Amino acid sequence: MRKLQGLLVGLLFLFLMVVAWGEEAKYGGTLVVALGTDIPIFDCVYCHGIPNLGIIHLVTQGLTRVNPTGGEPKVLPVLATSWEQSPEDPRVWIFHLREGVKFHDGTPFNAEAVKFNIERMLDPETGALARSAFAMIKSVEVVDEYTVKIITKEPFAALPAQLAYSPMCINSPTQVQKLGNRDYHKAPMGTGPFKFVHHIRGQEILLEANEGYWGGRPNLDAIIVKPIPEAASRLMALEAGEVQVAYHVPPRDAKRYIENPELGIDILTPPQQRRMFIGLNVQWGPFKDPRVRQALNYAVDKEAIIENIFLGLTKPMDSPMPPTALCYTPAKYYEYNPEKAKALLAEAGYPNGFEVTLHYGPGRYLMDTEVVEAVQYYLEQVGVKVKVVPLEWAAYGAMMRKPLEENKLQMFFIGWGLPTLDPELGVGPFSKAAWAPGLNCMFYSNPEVEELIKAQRAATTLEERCEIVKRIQELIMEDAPFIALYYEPQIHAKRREVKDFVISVTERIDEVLIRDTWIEKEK
Amino acid sequence: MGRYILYRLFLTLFVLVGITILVFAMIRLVPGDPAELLADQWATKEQIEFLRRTWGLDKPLLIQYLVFVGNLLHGNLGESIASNMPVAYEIAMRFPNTLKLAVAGMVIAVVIGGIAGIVSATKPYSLFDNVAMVLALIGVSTPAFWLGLMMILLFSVKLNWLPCTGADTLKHLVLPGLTLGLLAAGIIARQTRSSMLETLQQDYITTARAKGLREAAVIYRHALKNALIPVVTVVGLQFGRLLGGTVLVETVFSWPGMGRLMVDSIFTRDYPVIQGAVLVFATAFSLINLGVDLLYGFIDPRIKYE
Repeated sequence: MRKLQGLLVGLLFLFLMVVAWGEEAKYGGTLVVALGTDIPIFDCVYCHGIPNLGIIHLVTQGLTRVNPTGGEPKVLPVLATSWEQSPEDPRVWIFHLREGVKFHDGTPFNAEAVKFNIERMLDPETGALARSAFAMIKSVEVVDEYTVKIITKEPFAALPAQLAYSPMCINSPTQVQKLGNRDYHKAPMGTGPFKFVHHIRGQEILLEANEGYWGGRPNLDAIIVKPIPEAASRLMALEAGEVQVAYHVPPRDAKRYIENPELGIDILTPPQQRRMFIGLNVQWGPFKDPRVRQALNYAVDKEAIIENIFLGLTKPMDSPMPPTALCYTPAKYYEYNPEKAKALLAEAGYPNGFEVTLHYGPGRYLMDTEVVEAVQYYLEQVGVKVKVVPLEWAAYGAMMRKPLEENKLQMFFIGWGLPTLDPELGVGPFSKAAWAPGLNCMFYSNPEVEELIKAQRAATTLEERCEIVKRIQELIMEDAPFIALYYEPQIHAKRREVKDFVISVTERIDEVLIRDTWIEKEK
Repeated sequence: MGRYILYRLFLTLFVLVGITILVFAMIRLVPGDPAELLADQWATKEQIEFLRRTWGLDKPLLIQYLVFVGNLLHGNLGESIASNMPVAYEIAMRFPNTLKLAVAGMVIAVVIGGIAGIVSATKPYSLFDNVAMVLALIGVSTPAFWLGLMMILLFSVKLNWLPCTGADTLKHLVLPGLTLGLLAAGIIARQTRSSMLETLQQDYITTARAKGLREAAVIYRHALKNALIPVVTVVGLQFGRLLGGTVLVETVFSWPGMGRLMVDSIFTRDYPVIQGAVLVFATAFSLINLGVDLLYGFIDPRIKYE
């Protein structure tokens, strides 16, 4: 019996040693991440571009975040641990905050800090780029040290998801006040797993592990972010081992890595949320007739585009929302049917088709030129002659932002991201309130959809909300203010020695899971 | 001489004023503005208008220009819209990198191009001449982009000798410097060769040979010195071009220089940065031209500046 005890103790000791060694083995190393652009400014309030904001979130975290896998529940805690909508007044939300958390400068994180940051976002003087995204918030009240009350102007079911939107970061109020709004980005202080060290413009950003991180010290010692604008150079740097993670990999290279595992590079394909479609100006000529719009949807072979251009890494759009969105339903899929397309065109009075101009901004989206050319070909097959006009992105954007009277767009290729995974941004822009200069430059509006969009905001249970949103999805697909194409696949790559590394559905390095990322040392 | 330099600098001032007006007008005539670009997807008309006001873009163009010039006279290039940083800082972070790259490229180009040109000219239509001139032609017509990628593929990915991104050490300078240098060497080689050939046919070269000078002395002391003027002109022009930042090479090697700053700023319509960068280019270019003109005087004492 004694011997057995001794053996057991010995085994336990051995087990603990192995575990401890395993944990020890995970510590250390610097992760070098290559993005396509330099981060313009290290402050969520003034920065744009989701991957850029994702890096900032490693330092200054948010209250909530969307589920990185796109699964349920859609919104997960970060600095807020739980939240509820007041049963008496749906405009009132209570957020419970994580206790005992400190900013990198030692300032305690609490309800005051949350109030300070939301008010900073909303204050016009700040000049926040995404101020409108939080304009539904009326006021923020401190209930106690770790409880904050957020009151919206109207009932707004999407609030927790909206707060997960990247421009909302919780910064140390002391540091913001010390440096001032405009200079805060030079030494940002957050609660994240990494601390900001320096930003050499156009060259690199260096972050170092936060020893006192509330989730435990991260495995990595440091993260370096490099801007490498040219995709070919980005991938060669990855292959040469100068970087370990490369964002935005062209499908042909992804194929090469999959077929040649000896290169030691893994492809990351997080779930998708960006809807890629050809917007149709429903106030223009033939597109006034929904039958024409439906016909164009039947005319394009989405499956072939996905198979040949995107290696089958995504699926065709069957809803105005992506499958990762809250309340998504496959509402209607326009299968490839050129005969039906021709019949519908004839019925609408265009048996010989018509001529139309398609604008797009090449280089903005993955394989955009190839997709536009494919669409041009398919439409030609049913008699619609498409003149393709490529424009530099800023000029294209200026064209899109023009109000109806001045807007010259007929057809345009665009991608709408859904960084909150919430129907509010998922279907909200299909309303008159979002007409250009807002997102909706199809100038689409359906009175029933308008009513339902308002109704889903006021819904207090998820079932009720999803019921309404389901109907909206069906109506929009039926009205077809676009040629529904596909959900843009995310293709990134990492070297095989990088373990437990997650890029989320929203194209961000997950601000919580990054703690567990580690680099396997060479044997 | 001193008066000449002052006079040239005075003229440069006019060039710069002209350039500011041109750039200022041009970037504002192109469609798209920073407010439309940077405002996020929820942005309302009011929000876009608000951002425009914040950045002073709602004012009439003339007022905007006067504000810009007024600040300029105080030595202030304004602030970047995308980064909130002073434009002078953005440029100061990049210009040294561009200068490093341009100097490295030029040194390589002058050494390789110069030697190839001289040797070719002394042995015209020889095997060396033919091979060198074909290589020079390839150098002139190779896209920088392609050559850069091939360099990375060979020296970084396959051989693992040199880094392909970053700008910290001398090692980082080798590949982009070589890429730029090889491309510029072609032009310099061809210019040196033709200029040398012309000079070698002059009577004074025949005289030099007739009085029994060593061939090396004939070539370096008598021919090369006289053949240098067109070569220096080409080198000066090339150097000016390189100082403007070589967008393609900087993009391939992720080199944080002026070219990329400029292109990024054009894409986001960061007006103050575009204006500041163009002003720096124009100044650099003017000064180099002045330098080249002064060099003529040293090379050829017959040229005098009054």
